[in-house]
Amino acid sequence: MYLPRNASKARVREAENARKNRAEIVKAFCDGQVSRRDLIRMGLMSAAGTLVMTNGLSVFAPSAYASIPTGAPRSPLFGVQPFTQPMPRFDVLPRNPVSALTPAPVAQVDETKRHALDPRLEGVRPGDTGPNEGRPPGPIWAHQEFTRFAPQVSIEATQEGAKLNTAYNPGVTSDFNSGIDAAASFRPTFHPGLPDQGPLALWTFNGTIPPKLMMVRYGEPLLFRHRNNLPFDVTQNGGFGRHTISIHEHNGHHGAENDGFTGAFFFPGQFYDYHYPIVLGGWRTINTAATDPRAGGPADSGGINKVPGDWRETMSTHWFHDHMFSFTAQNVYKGMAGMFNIYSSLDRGNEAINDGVNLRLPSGTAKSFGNLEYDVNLMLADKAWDANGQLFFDIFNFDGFLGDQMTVNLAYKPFFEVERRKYRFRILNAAVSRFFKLALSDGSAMIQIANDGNLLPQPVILTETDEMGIAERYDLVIDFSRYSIGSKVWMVNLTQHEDGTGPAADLSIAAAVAGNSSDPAVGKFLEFRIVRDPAVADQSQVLATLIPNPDLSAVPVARTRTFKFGDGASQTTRDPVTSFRGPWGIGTNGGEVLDADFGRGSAAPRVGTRETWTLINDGGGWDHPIHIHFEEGQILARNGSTNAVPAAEKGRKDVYRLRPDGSVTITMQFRDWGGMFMEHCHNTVHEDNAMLLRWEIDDNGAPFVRPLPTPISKPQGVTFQPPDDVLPGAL
Amino acid sequence: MKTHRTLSTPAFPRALVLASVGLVSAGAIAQTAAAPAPMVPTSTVVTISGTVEGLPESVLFTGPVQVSTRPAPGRIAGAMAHVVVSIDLRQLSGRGLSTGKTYVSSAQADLTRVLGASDLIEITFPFFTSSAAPASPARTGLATFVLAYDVTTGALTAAVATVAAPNLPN
Repeated sequence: MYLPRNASKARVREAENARKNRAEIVKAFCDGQVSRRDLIRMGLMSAAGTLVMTNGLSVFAPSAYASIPTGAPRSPLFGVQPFTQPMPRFDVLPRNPVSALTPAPVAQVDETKRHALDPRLEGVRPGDTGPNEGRPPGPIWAHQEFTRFAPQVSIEATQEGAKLNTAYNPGVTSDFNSGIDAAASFRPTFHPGLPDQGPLALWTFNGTIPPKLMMVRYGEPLLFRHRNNLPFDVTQNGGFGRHTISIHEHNGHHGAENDGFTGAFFFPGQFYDYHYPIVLGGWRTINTAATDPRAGGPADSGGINKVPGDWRETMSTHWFHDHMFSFTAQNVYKGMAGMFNIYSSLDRGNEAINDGVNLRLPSGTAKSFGNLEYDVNLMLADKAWDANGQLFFDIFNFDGFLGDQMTVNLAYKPFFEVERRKYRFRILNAAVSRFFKLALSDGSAMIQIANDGNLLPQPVILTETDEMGIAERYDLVIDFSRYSIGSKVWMVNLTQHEDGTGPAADLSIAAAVAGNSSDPAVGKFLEFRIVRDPAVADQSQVLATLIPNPDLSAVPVARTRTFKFGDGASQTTRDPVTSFRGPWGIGTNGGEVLDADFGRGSAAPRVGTRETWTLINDGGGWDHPIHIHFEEGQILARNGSTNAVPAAEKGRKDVYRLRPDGSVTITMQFRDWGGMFMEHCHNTVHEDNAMLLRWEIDDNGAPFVRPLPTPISKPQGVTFQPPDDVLPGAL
Repeated sequence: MKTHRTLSTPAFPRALVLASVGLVSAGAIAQTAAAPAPMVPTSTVVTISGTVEGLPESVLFTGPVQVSTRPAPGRIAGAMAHVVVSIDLRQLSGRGLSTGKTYVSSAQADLTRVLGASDLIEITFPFFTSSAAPASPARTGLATFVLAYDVTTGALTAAVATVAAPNLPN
């Protein structure tokens, strides 16, 4: 993918020119100046959607220097060395009373509350007005159970271009943040020695870095107000990215109106209220009297606020990110990603409370819940930047996009100071197309306690993780008490890529650490510096049993469905807004592989039922990490074999790596909330190029219509249209 | 339907012939009989042995290791084929050479590798006494596998393995 370090100047120049040429086309495409159809007509793309191998455009074009893929220029480092900056903790978003929100949140969008639209918005004429809130109007998109789960806390954030952070809140004191002075302004850069990112290059929550952390607890419904402060002019994007956005809380058990549906995007100048009830799955039917202390959230007093639902549905580590139709990869890469810690009676974020319920995982003791001293969020992402140090993205490789520089919490190869004790790391793969396989450089053991949002039934001791697909989360406990003060150990990536199709090879730790890989993202990327003994003895523990899976054996399997993920997709609809042409697609229940259309209903499980879905990789050797929104699944088999499910995948999950030519069979129960959700590849380049489908909860018409109308978002307001298509057997 | 294939002894480079060799027994490899399919998955059991030296005591490991392979064709024209190698070390058992304690491992590894005539794989694995609590400190061993393939079908034709202490300077 990237040129070797010893590439000739001529070769680098050629690749740089190709990249600039492609960037111009990317920008024209993003700006809406040319369509994909135009590109095909101009001979720059094949009908299948792939960039024609034209020298001067493609880094893979046969050039005067080689007849094989020749690579892109590496991101310049401006003399910066790895492990010379501290890793910043996430920036904790303030939790405020709901009364702090103006206007007050409402269950159903009030379309009479409007504002004058900026004429720079596409399709807007002077004098046009639009609703203040961009959420689709009407009862279907009203917040479900808004009274029962009335918001108790609010969090408000903007989406905007990069700027100084003058209000950084790491949630810990400086000695737990590698000495970072949180009171000092935090520049929008991947390293103090690298150029600042411009306001069009990096679009983050509140426009600042470090990335943002939301902290919530069961029994305390949250209202997240998201304001779109991105440029009104769609062309003001620094070359890539789309200013319309939709935020997915991955993988919240909320109503679909809060799920960040890909077609329910909103525009600059608008806000969108997301209502996160923070409830346990099964709250309508299980433990309805809320008598089980294992089903609960932490109380301020240190006790438990009991809630209805199945305690085995407790979740812990989520994240939130943009889900704009066809632009998710660009927008997430551009900075629209944060993490979301959920605290519960089991996973309290306080390691000292010994009440027989709290699992006492590494965290801290000062607060009743949500202590972060020893509970650390890590967001891994590979990035690339141009000769000016500005973030660069290339959408013209439909296999996937790889960066050549590793970042953790948007910091280039940082170090992190630790004490001689146990830490919990909530690790998120926030890459576009890259997989990671993690290890410590000395091969020391780690304990995996969670996979995706869910604590495992039993912890798994390992020295090398499984390949971690895009959007997966692994919670690892690392015990640094084995190291002496002053020593160092590194977190290492073992998975080598040749392109964005999936892992090319998993290396040994020795080979990865040696630094000889052709993939610049292989090897050490985070340095742990063991700096001191803890002032207070480590009270944390990792028990033999964490959270068992919900027992679904008494729930009959109502339906089985298959979803085949492949290329060469066809499109049966022509809606200019909801449908998309791309090389990727999904075939449902043996039907042909179809391009995405968020106006098409592909599956509609009946509310309350349990189904078994088999996700199939349709060959070609690619890997696809498949994400199913809303409900957590239990993996029953890999490649048809129950024995092929590794221990670290025996909990509940929301992302399923298929592996080349592989399949995964899962089971899920659909309950509690209604609306339209999605299923897609989380290699977001695949997702954006049509490997996405819509499914919805079918409650047979009550209280929703069946199937649901499709929202069509415009600055002047959201309209609805009937589904373009409903696949046979969907209902 | 499954068929069985007899394995031949691979002609590995001398440097890759390891001190402790687990021979693959004839008939141990089962593969699917999808005759026209160019790539076939394979599964075998390799007997592995070796000593992890170190403190508090050296540990001699012996036991069966399940090795399964799923080859996949190249993703784009001219690209190398890949193979997903699954290694299950959970049946591995160790004996402490000083105390006689029993050591076990929970390791399962799924690795993506480039498909070639032969492949040397090194994986680390944690091990601990069989009575240890879940969060007890675990030690690390290194398992080395030399796998041979029929590159036209991707079928695994031979596998040898050994265990040693890792040499990973920090």
